[in-house]
Amino acid sequence: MTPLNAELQAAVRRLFDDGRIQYFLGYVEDYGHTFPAILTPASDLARLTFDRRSYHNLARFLDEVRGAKVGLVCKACEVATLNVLAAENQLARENVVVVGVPCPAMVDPGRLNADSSVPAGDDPALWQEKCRRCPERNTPDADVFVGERVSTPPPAPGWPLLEEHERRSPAERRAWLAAQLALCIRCYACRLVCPLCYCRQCFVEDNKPQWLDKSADGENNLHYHVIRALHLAGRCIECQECSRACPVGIPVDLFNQVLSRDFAQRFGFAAGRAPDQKAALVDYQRDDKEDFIL
Amino acid sequence: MNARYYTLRQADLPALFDRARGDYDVIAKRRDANGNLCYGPATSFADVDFTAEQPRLSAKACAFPQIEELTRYRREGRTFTDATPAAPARPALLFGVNMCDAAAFEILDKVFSWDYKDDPYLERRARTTLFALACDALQIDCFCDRLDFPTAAVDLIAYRRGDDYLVEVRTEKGAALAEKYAACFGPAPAAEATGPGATSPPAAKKPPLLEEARPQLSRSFDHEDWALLAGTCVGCGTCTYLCPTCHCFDIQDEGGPAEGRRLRVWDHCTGRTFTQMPAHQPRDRQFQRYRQRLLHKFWYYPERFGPILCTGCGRCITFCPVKINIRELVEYFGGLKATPPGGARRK
Amino acid sequence: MNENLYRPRLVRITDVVDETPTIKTFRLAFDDGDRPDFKCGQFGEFGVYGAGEAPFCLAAAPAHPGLEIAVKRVGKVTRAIHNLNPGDVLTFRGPFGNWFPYEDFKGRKLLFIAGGIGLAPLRGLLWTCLEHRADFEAVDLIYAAREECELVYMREVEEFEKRADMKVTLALDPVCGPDLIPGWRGRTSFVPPILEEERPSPANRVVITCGPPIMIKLVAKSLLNALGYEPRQIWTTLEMRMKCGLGKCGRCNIGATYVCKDGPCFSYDQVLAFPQEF
Repeated sequence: MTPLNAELQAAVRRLFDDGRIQYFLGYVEDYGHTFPAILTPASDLARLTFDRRSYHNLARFLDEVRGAKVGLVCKACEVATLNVLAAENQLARENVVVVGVPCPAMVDPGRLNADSSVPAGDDPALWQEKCRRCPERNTPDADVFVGERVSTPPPAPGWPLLEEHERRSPAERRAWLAAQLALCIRCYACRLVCPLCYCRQCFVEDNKPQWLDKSADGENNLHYHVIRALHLAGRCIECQECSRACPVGIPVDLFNQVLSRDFAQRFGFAAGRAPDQKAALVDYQRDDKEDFIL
Repeated sequence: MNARYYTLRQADLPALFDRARGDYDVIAKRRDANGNLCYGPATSFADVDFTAEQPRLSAKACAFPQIEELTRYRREGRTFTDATPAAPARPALLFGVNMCDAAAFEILDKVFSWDYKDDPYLERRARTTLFALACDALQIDCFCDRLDFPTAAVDLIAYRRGDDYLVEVRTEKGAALAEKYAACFGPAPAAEATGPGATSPPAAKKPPLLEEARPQLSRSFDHEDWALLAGTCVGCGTCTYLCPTCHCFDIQDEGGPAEGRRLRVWDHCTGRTFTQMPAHQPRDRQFQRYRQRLLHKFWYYPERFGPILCTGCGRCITFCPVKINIRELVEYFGGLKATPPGGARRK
Repeated sequence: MNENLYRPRLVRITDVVDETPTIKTFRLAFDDGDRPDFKCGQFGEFGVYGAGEAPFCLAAAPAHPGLEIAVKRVGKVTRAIHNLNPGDVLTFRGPFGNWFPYEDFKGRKLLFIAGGIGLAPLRGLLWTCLEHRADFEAVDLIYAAREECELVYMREVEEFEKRADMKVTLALDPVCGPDLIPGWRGRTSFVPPILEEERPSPANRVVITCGPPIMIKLVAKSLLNALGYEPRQIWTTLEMRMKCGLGKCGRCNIGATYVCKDGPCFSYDQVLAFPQEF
């Protein structure tokens, strides 16, 4: 057991014993994997962990324990999510205890060893793409911080995956996109791991009118991904859970990155900076650029 | 019929493929646009990856495609004309399919042929020959050693023997293929002429079969730990769509009022709207939907039809976005293990 | 592909009756051959090409020609059906499911308890019993709804009320308090208090009930706990979301039961044996 995990387990035990929380959302390690779990005071905390496979956005599971006092271990990704949820009136921040940690950068799931263990070394090439762009390794605004704060390497600038895609010709881009969308099986893993896709009935479930056919064919798949990205415009905090969850390896979050970049470049806006930050599409500044409007 | 054994040399694989391609639509393992392994049509052996590695999706689409046209309709005045699509003309050959994927067909045959005969499935099934490639070892998530899945209907099985293969013919369909392409096969080594020396995967010590969980599982419906252990399930279709034996489907009309198609499409019981009715939703919490999937596979289906609705391929664990582990949950709720996975507990 | 079991027959609408603001009865005829034989309790998958299919119980007696369904406009398919007129066609697959054990009901006292549109699945059986009234010791009906606009087949129910050999009790939910609803001549009560007041004896009795799940559960509870009925004396027809209608797609499973094949008619001892999730 790592020192960090020991400290984390002790901190969570204290939170339960002090009655500050009724549930804890954290990661546990078992059967060779690290995965999210909903823990209660009766749970065995010996498997509670925070490691380099702690990909998930635990804010996704707040809905399961709605109404209760909950604690969760957060990376900067989760804190940004909590900010957006708070700004959208989806949670009361005071009911949530944020346990902060020094994030070691997550290993790209595709780079794990065959037995799911983490390869040795800390080459950034092993990391998830978002971690190379991360500006803050130590959880901001934590109520409880466990472990030693670490230094954050300078983040890679821009949106490298998007820029790489855009170096292709339009015809190549169309072909690549068609090939990716042909793989999509409309499992909706991308939508359902996203903590900001919290609509009780999603547009994909509507049938009066039916916006999308249920068939997983290229055209319907394209519409699904594009519309979902538009519904997340100015809200997505780029946790990349959607791409990580995709069982057929589509880099789904590229759709979201296009829009995130637009907001950053045109309006200097990034989602999730503060719990009272107004959503981009419901706010304006007097000096907003309007050169793209006729 | 008696199983018969042959040698298939690695060097003869391309020839076997090329001959088969003349008579069959060959579906083999190949790389998709992202370099991941998948089953797909192959017209050149150069595209084929003859490996025991597991493709992301199972092979069930050969008999149960994700989108299947049931009828095609066209309005004529106040009525309609409709037609069923023609059956595929050529037989299909699944070339190098995993055992866990091949065995699934015999399990699925039960539901698709009981009482009403599901013609779309049964016709595709009948035209498909299964040529399996057995694995040498279990991977991190697969657990076929915990199940007795049926293999009698797998037409041919290739077992690795060094660089070459020992091929076992198990059915008449398999025998017909071996005979047709006899030039590609050689006699089996004397020691294995009546049976493979080693089974696949290597059966070391066998932990209890998941079948033994059923009595306790059938009493676990109201267990209070379901809400926590299945509470992180997000309700996507990943496990269901990748699974070789899951077969829930929807029937949807696509097109418009003037013309279109009535389709069968895959669906997933873990989805929120699966049992949603206008006035009533019997499974309104996600853990209830996950519980349905697990109990259907390990209790309801075997109670009804005999085999467990699972071949232990492990994809549902590997690709679950939250790594819910159906094997661990069956063990826990089935009383084979005392501690819940991950330690989460309500009591 | 051969003629496959998912290819529907087409049935022509001969008549449309507005039962309530949201419920219509459709009478249907087959132009391409004989109407298939069916038994009381069975259902069919009816649809509109372009909108889809949905299960509807066959609401008329098998002895009558054609088919009848009661359609409440709640969703995409039902809305498409409601937009049709006599002369238009529906797709039809069926008949599916099991049926009420009519022969076992003979000689007994039958009490039908229906809630709202739940009268439709019972109607075929009710008519058949009334048309052979001498085979039964009693045929009575308690018909309840939340509001008056949810009562269906009221012209028929009014005819039933005139019969000397049938007791009919009408009831609306007491949502506005115990005061009488202006113009309403029936009871203002939920069904269980009516049962516990009238105390229909379990001797030689079969209760056949259909309505919202909560009504079925509370009616059964009242009969079993307060009035001494055995579960096997209570029959019901369950509604689950269905698609294929013939035991393949898995949508209507409750435990190992396929409601579309082993049901939709169940005796209550079967219902109690299900995992409790309907």
